[in-house]
Amino acid sequence: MDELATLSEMRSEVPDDVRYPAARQALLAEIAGRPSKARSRKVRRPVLLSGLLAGAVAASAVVAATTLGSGNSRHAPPAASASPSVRLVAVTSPMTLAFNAAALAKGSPTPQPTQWVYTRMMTTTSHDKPSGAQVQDPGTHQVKEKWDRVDFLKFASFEHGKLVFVNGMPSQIGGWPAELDYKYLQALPTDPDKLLAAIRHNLATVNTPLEGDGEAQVFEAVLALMENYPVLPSKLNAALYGALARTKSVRLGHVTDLAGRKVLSLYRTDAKSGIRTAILINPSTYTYAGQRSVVVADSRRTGNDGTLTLHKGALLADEAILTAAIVNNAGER
Amino acid sequence: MRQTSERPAVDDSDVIDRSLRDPSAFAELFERHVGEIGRYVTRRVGPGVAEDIVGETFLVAFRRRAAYDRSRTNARPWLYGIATNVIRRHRRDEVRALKALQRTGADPVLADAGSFADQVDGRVSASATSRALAPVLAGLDAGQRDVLLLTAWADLTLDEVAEVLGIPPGTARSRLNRARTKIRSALEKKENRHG
Repeated sequence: MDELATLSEMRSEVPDDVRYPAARQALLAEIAGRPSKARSRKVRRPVLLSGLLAGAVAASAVVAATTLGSGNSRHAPPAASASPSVRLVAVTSPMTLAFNAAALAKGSPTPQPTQWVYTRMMTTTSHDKPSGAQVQDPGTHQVKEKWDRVDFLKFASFEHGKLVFVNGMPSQIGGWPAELDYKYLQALPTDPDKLLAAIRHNLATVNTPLEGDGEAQVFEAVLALMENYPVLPSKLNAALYGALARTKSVRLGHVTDLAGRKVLSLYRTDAKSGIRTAILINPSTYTYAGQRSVVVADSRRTGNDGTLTLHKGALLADEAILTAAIVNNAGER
Repeated sequence: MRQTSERPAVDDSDVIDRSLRDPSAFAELFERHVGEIGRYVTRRVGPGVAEDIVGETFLVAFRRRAAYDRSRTNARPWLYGIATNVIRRHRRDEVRALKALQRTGADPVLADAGSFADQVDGRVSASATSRALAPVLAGLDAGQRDVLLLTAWADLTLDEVAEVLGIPPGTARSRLNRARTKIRSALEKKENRHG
């Protein structure tokens, strides 16, 4: 008796010419660069409602290296943080910020796909309904911890003291190719002009056509990368600041973040939406330290998701990365 | 059940290669393999969840296409490997249907199949053989079931099975042998009962 032949008859009535239209639709949507529904990386929407509506912020953000100290100097970082041969300049503009970041950048090892990105971050909370603009409640804060596997196929966090795992899947980050991973990131140019050209090329081909001068989308793409890729290769990180510094609309700021730390910021005010979004930067290590997004002018916008009314002064996002590091196992800090 | 189609002029690795420059080319890979992968998935978990699993399988494949080993001209084993991982999350559905088949003699996988009712003529009661096999399949550990069904239903070779599951060929062989022994003894028991 050949038991395998017998087994191969079981359920052999199931036909092989079913076309699975919903599966096909999902694939075509993915190919077109539209976000899919699985829990995945934070998806920034091409429309400028990006990050405002609940869907876009459902998955938690991440990012960057090292723990920030407090009381950092407002300008050039303390000499102790730099190796003796590194010359830093006073930070007076996005360009000088990018210059210091590049001067400090060293080669970074590529994490293995099965390693984990550990992130501890402070965020505000919001009492808004998930369907509306997620306006944050000023003065609130919570600390969150999570582990995302480098290949984005698993996520872990503590629930009631127990480490709980969730399956995920890699998904496309707005403005970047689908095959984005550390290997891809290591291969990106670290010359800011070339990097900016590559970002613009990606935006134009992968996803959405550039609107106007495209600077809004460049900024969004850089922020999306930073929040999804905590521990970025440091030379690329510096080049991303350099690319932003080469856009006309990005400014330098000095602010105190949600955790009370003095940080640098590269910010951009979007005239169309009246939203000012800042990438926060550790003034000693020049790594990504979080983000803040504030409404600076009343606006009313209609996008794919409905109409959104925003009032001046509303806080839309306030996140401070306390720690971000590559670790070998989920649960490891 | 292997489809003995001729090797197409443009093989799967060419399609995947092209899709790195032009993502829309990947739709071709879907068209080529969805029928076969879908059939395998449906046989394991039923048509109810098959659509989702098939969808996810191809999404994962699309996102990982840059890592595809382009010396492989046929993407079939690779797709089966991805589908197997996705199916694992639906292990409970799979086992539940097998247990129902054992208990009632009607196979939920075929009964749920509104979409292919024509092909099965409304015949939902499974053969006595299927009914005898169901508890054995339900009782295998997941690793053994994967090896057994990738061999019997997907027609992969043992080497292909080992590769897509990421296990040594020796492990695949011993899993298959253990599973075959269990299947054989269940079939013999049934023969004895009826013979």
